Amino acid sequence: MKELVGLQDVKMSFDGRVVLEGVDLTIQPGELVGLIGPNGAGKSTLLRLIAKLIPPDQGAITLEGREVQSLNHRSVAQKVALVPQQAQLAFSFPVREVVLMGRHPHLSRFQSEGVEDYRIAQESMVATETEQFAERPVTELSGGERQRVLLARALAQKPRLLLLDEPTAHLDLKYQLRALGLVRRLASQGIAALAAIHDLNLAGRFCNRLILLDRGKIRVVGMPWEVLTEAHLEPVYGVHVRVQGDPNLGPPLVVPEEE
Amino acid sequence: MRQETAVEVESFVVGQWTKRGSVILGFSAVLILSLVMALVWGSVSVSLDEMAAVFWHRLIGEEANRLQEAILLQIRLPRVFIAALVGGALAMAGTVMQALFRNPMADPGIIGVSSGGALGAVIAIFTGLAFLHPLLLPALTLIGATLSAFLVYALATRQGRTPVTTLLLAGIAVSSFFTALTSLLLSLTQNILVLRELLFWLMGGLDGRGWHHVRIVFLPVVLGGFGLIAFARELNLLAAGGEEEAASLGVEVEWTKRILLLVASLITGLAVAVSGVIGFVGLVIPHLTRLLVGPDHRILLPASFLCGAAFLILADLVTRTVFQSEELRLGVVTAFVGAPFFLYLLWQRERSSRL
Repeated sequence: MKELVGLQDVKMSFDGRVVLEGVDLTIQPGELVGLIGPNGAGKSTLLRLIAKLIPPDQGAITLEGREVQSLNHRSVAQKVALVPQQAQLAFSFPVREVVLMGRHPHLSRFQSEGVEDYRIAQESMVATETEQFAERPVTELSGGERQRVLLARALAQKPRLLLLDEPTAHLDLKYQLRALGLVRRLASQGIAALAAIHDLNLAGRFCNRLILLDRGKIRVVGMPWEVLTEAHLEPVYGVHVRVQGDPNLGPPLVVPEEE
Repeated sequence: MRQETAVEVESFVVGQWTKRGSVILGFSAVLILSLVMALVWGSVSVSLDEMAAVFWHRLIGEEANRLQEAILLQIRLPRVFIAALVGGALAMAGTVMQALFRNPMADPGIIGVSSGGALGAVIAIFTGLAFLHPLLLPALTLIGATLSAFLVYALATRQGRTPVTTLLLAGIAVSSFFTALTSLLLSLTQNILVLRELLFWLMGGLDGRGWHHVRIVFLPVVLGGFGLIAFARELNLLAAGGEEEAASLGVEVEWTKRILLLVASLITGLAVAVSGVIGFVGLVIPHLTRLLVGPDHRILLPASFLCGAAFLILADLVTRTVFQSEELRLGVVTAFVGAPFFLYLLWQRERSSRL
């Protein structure tokens, strides 16, 4: 199958500090790829590059074979949705309006949201279990509720690629499982997802493939059992870990040892 | 099941539009009411019947009561029109700036338009140019406003990007500089009558404004207003999530920002050019309207226009009727009403955030 996203030798730096270097990567439709690595490894930067929020210093990023930099924001947003790490929501828009904002890239300037857009927004709210506070101002929600609203907005975009920056950071145990379960289900229906995830066990459990980033470079790419090993994790995180479980029975369990 | 939800969603959408329509109708009714009040009340009262008669006679081309016709058509009507256009323009520009800066304290003059315009006007009066032709004063005001807006924008732009925080700081710097220059010219003015003229202008007012002033502001404000409404959805995205989120939802942020700043500054500059500096309308009216209709700019923008227009018509009516002289300036009235109201809003906000 043809690749959805491709990165070739991508380099990015902020004020002379290299954040990403020599990044090569392809993502196929149907897979949920986990992006793991310590703080400052370049995970958010990688997601922002793919969403065309920042231009790379060097290298090429392609979306369905076309250079992302040559597309306008609207055509990128029709295919790529980003769930940001921190919800910086201001002004007391009701949740439904925020979710409807996901339809923006599909509407022309003088067009209003139609019945179909409202239906898609409703579906997205049902899928993320946010429809019970559809009419409440988004500024009054808790951190986890807002994060689910942002996921709903991203779903309303009907993207082919879903980028998630710490989608489970503010979620409780139940919604961590439900959110990632939902993303995996969407991936199995044919979209692709790339998610930066701190929790290695959640990443190993839900993702088809993992990318371990270390100080701007890809250290290793592979199936969870290939990436989540003591030999890979210890030098990157600087922590002693034990990896438990059986590859034939289920995902690996990473247990950090006390320092 | 699916059919049923489709019907439900459809009636919901229709309900949304009915709600929006009735909000706009309600605000229009308030505007028309204040317009009629401002026409019939004043130093010379005209009854509703007499007003209707004047308009009717005018319409069929017959001779009407000369005095009443002059008062209504040559004095009050243009003045009410200007009040409506200036109030509406300032309120819309304020709404746009608050969304762009994601800051409820932003006002239409935030990027230096008001202080630049004021300096232009003071130069016009100080040099005597203003007394040569009635349109030279608004012209110089508009030039000052435009120059300062471009200066602030240029100062804040690096490599094609204009961060709003830099824009805000550049606006403060340029405004202070122009305000200092204005003060310098005031202190250099020897002639007490000219000084009075300057001070009066700086306090804002609509006395002696006629149809030629209406002609300056009418088209730009109406076209600019519709232009801003065309960007209402982008404004929602920028206000709700900020620039990066708006970009990720498909907004060409820098381009959109440039257009919105240009249009909002232009209509603010025009407002300052015909009315002087009128504070608080552009700050308080967007707030008040947002409290009444919510943050959706598709409704908020037209509603702020109507609300700002009605507010300035009524404020101007107060300046004309309370003391029956031109000593009570319009800018003073709007600040008198606006400042306590603003404090009330802040107090409400404090209280609700504590709950």
